[in-house]
Amino acid sequence: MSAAPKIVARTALVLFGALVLQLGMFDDLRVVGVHPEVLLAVGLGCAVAWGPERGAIVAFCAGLLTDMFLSGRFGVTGLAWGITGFGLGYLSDGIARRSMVIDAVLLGLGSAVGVMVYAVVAALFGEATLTDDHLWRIMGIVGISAAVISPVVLPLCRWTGADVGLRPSR
Amino acid sequence: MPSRSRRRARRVLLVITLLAITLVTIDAAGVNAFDPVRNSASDVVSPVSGAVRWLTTPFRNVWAGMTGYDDLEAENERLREQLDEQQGTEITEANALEQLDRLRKQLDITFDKDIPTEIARVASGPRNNFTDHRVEIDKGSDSGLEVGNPVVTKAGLVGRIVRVSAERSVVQLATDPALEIGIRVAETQDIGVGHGSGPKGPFVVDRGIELIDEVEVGHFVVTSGFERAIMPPDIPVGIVGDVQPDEAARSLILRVDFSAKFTQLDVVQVMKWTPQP
Repeated sequence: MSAAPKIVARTALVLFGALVLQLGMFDDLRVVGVHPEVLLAVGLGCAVAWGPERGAIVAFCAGLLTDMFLSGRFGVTGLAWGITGFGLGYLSDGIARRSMVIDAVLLGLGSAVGVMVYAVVAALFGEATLTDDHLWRIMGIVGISAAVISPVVLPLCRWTGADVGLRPSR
Repeated sequence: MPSRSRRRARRVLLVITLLAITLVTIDAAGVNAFDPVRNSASDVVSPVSGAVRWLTTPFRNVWAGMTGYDDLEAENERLREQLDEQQGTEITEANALEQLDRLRKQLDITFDKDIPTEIARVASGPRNNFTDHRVEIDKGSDSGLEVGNPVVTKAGLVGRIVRVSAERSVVQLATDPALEIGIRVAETQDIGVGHGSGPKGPFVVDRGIELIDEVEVGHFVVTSGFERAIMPPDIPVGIVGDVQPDEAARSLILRVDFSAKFTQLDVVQVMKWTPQP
């Protein structure tokens, strides 16, 4: 199998697995009413692992997958997460020294920012997300949970492009 | 990062942004272009996610027990206070449901008599971490459900179906401020239009009830079911909990306590009734 189909197949597999786990388990693992966003973590994990280009694409696809199961406008989550994936990819490319802890912090902060970007984009399309009483709580819990699951998510995201000649983010 | 890669990354971002805006615009046009995709996705994924759900039941139960302990304690405390309050008064009705039944019998309201219904279970609550007024039920078009079917419990109105796939349906809850419903006050026959006000808020009737109308706290509110209404007549919505005059609009604003308990939704009934086009 050549490189591109292999990357696409592996990424699709990881995204589908994350979607099934999100719907089958993580949706119910709520802390003060907020559940982790595994698909966001996977999208942004690819940004941390592979930089802005792949980060934006995978986060956008993860967002579209999420949109299929949300009641809001189709494409809003894709747009918000795609932008966040691009930004986080740039940021992670610019960090010279990397470690598991730094990557976990990047993923956690990125996820929290992803929630905020979603709130802004959804508000632009008429939803009351920016005025939601729980916005800060959602950002905090989604961010912390992404950092907690990063030891599993980041190796999986690295695996999607491993051994196929992709240049990893620093 | 080489400048060529940066340029390519920016181009990717531009393409993604334009694609997403196109998708959102198509969806906003109201043609329901993505409903088939969403329905198919739900049908494809639900068996697998259902299996994961079943496998992880013990873990999810333990988690719910751990994280829900504070809620249970608060609920206990609230119930204790409620009990003290009830013991201190001469109120004869034990709870709101009994009062509702009594009123319904007095007014001869039987909302589910002639319309066939389908029993369904709430499969999942709101998916979004942000406030969401939709839940998914485990029956769909295979069971004869259609978009527009009202969803009720024995206590009263829950919402209406807004999306149907073969085995699942999405219900827009009556708590949604965007869902406007025509109502009638059973005792006075006054009619108006109301909407939800969020997950824990009352149903607010802010149109149609005039200042001179004699609506009082405790009156019973049902769906009006007038021509082209989105609900059939006489589905209980709730009991008027507060009446405030709006001098500017020359109308009364009613805050109606829902008779259905949205925090405890489990089994619901879908009425096989669709609005007239």
